Amino acid sequence: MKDAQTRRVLGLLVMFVLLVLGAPYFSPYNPDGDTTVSGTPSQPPSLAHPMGTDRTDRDLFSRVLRGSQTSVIIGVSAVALMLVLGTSFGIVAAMSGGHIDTVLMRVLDICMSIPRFLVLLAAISIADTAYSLPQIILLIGLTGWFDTARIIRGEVSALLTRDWVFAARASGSGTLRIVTHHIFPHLVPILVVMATFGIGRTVVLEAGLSFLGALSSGASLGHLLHEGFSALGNRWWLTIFPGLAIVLIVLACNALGDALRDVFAPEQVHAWPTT
Amino acid sequence: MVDRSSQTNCARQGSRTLNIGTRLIARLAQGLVVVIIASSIAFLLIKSLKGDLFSDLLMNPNMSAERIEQLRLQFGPNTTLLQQYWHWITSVLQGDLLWSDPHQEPVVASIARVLPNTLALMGLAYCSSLVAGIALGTWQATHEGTLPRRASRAITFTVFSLPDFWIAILLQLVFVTWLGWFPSGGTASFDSNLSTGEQILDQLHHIALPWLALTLVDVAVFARYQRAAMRDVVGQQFLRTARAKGVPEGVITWKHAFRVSVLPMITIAGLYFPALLVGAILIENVFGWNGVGRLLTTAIGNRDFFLVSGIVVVGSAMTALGSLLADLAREFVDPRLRA
Repeated sequence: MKDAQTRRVLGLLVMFVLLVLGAPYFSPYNPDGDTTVSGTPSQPPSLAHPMGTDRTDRDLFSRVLRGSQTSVIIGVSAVALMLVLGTSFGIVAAMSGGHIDTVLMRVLDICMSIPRFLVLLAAISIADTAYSLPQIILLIGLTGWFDTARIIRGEVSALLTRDWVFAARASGSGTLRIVTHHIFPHLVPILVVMATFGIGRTVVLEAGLSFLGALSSGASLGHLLHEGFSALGNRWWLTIFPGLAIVLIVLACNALGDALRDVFAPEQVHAWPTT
Repeated sequence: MVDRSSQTNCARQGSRTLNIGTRLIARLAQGLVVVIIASSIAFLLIKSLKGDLFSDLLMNPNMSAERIEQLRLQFGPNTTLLQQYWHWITSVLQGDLLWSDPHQEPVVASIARVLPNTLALMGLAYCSSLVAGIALGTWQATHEGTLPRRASRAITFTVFSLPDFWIAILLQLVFVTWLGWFPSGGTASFDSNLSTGEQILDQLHHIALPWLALTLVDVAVFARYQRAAMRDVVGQQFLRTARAKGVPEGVITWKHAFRVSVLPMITIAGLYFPALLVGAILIENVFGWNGVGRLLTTAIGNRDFFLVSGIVVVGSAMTALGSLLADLAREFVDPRLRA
């Protein structure tokens, strides 16, 4: 049953990657342009427009494809940044030990108790200028690595007491070599699982921020939701389909994360709702 | 494991009764420090992204000349970021979150008016989802392999992956726009002719959908963790002993296994508080629920800098308080943690 489940998940994921990567090639219409010369605005879903069109005659299916691409790009890049920062911080804290470790962990405690979504929402939307995609990725990544750092630090502390690390020390390996050759390889499974769950979480975080109107550039799925919600009564498809795309991305990430966790069994990593 | 914990418990009993007041104060002080630092980071971040504070405020016709002059002295272009921060943090420490110009009242008053609505929504959702989630998770763990359980597992897994604000949008579309069963927003009708009983019913009518949207995902989250915790307990020796003694299965599940498995849930519940706050902010905006989240988006729309900063302070305080309460609850339930 596990195998069948994993295969289904992988199939879903491969489909997604293809859809998202290939979006510009088989997207039926230009996501920013009119669909016909005569104009067919505000059409409900039909064969020609599987997800309908919006008020300015743009094909929603094409827009959702491109929106998924944007959302996934934000998710993947921000998570990559989080993992790099969190892993470095965690390794430094655990390897230093003693007072430095204690101080770094207290700093982390404080960072973790900052209501991240609230601060991001306030800071981004009250700013004078709109944000570009790299800036959004930077902001989300820079504020999201605290729990990664905590988990990695715990893992590294545990690994440091293992026999092979003592053996490496005894045979004269330096700290850097121990980290790269004897610690880091054991962190890879946890990092992979954290990355998978993290992408889903970040997509939802970005969608939430965009939905409240904080991020206007990029036309991500959250932004489509934001646009569609104002016309919920008249053009329901504008809200439902971008939302479904978010759900599919998160579902795929969580299912793949679960499957990977069953394989690697890092107990301490779980899917977790957006904070 | 059980033996050792009871030993430590006995050994530490004396110091615990002596120290509980001191430790509570220390923990509160720690929470306060966290709130101050979190608010400071938020203020500096918002302020550095905002640039000029007054380009929007000066256009507000309700601003008095002396008020503008005073703000200019404290936060104007001739002051450094450090001076502005000093003015702000000293006011905050005195319990004054400064003035909201669009609302023409102190920020504290604006927040205090809507905070009960948010707390009611969050409190209701928190309690009901904890109870329902723990019950569901326990049931799933004790009925492994049966068809209803597999179906419920698939459902909780799917619901777990749904963003709560999207559930809120779906509920809004189906039950408000299409069916018209529920009011389209707000916390209560503006009808003064209602009796007390009708008023309560009216408020329940308004809170039903926001509550449901917030609760559904939380139930799935708590059920997932409770199921995992319960499954870890189910195979343990003391349950086999109990079964061998002839203790009925229901008693084993609810009196023996459940009590051990529910311990980690308290940690989960404490960690979950920030997620609940985020959910409330988003859902309040979907349903037009007149709470802190709605106030925040209005304040952002008004470029109301002090109100936005004030809400961040209150949000930090709520988060810190949530983790404090979870720590206390865990200590109260699990004697091994009383040190």
